[in-house]
Amino acid sequence: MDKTPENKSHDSSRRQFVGYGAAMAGLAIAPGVTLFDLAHGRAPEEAASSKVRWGMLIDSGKCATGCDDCVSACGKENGFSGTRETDSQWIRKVEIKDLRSGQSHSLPMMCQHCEHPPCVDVCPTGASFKRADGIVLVDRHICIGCRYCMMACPYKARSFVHEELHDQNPDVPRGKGCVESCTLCVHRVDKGGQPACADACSEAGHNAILFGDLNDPNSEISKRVTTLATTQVRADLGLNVGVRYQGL
Amino acid sequence: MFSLAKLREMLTSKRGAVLAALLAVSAVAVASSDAHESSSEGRVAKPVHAEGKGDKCVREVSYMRRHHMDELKHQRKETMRKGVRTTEFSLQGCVDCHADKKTSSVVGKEGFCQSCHTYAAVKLDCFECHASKPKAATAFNSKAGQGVKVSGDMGMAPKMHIDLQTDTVEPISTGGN
Repeated sequence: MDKTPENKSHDSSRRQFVGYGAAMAGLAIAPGVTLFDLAHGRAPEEAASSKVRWGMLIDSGKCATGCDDCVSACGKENGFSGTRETDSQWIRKVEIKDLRSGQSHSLPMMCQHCEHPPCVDVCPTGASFKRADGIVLVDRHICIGCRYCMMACPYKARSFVHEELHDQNPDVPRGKGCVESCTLCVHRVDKGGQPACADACSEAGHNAILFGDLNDPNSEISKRVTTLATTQVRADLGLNVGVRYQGL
Repeated sequence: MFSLAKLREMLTSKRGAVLAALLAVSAVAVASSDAHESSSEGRVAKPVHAEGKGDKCVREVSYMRRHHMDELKHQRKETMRKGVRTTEFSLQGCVDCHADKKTSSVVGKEGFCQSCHTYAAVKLDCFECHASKPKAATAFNSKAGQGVKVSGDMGMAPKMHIDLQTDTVEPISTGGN
């Protein structure tokens, strides 16, 4: 499938994905709704499972121009303000404009949590890795700060910590000399919560960020991905990203 | 001949007495210098083992002294790679229990972790990245409540800027104590 021309391969894989999702949705009516609860309320001693694939759906129609609540919430949660020149940037707001029609979109851009992450491919130490549930992380114990992953990432999602840090969030250890990026707030997700950006967006009343399990046919995100036209940024790269956009 | 032998005997016995006296004096001197040096700045201070918060540690103290690093390393792999979030051997658990009552930190001169690591001359780099204070003592403690209030406001960016500035100032003031 990889050998076929890009467009064709993309179309067929999408068709396959949509078909698969629809089939799963049909099957899941019988077992009931408890599937999602089981997946999300994981016991502390239970390892992350590949039955789950965490993802996000961002509705650019609802994402307000000029609003940066998700960006600030991310900084607050993970301990950077974005005010220092060398501060990390895990999420940023992007404004895109079609020059012919003048139509513009606002959307947050962050680590897309690829199924086939290029950052993991290039990492010489194995620090960059994908967890079973699809969250792409950096193991800072092993990261040597070479920054190959920053160059490999097509989404410019990764940052390098240049300066010593103090008073970190106990749930989010961060330090000088390592590369880091959006963790999908893994510490919250493991406790059954959702990322800080998604929380902030719904608190602000925009509800543009939907977080959920892409593998669970009963989840809101799966239902929307199977019924609406959603886009993967740089789908041509065939990375099968976990963060999808709607209305682009 | 006789007188010479007697004299020699007297001499040796005298020498013995002198030696014994010297030894006694030096022993006292060593003892006093020991007592003096243990309280002086020149020697590495003995580690501080303040009482933890709970009744007892997750394992025997003797086991923890020898194996805490292995358990922490094992837990780190489980949590980082697999997402296992058990608390028994989590570093956060150590910090929560052993943080100093005054500084609420495990590092610093009298910190539970650092005082012992300094004494044993073993590098302690956990806290270059990990928080050395329990969550209750950090700025992230009341985060949930603050987050709601702040995000309700429209002028979010400047407010957050101030919040985080105080965050960065705080460790310097508390770390000095």
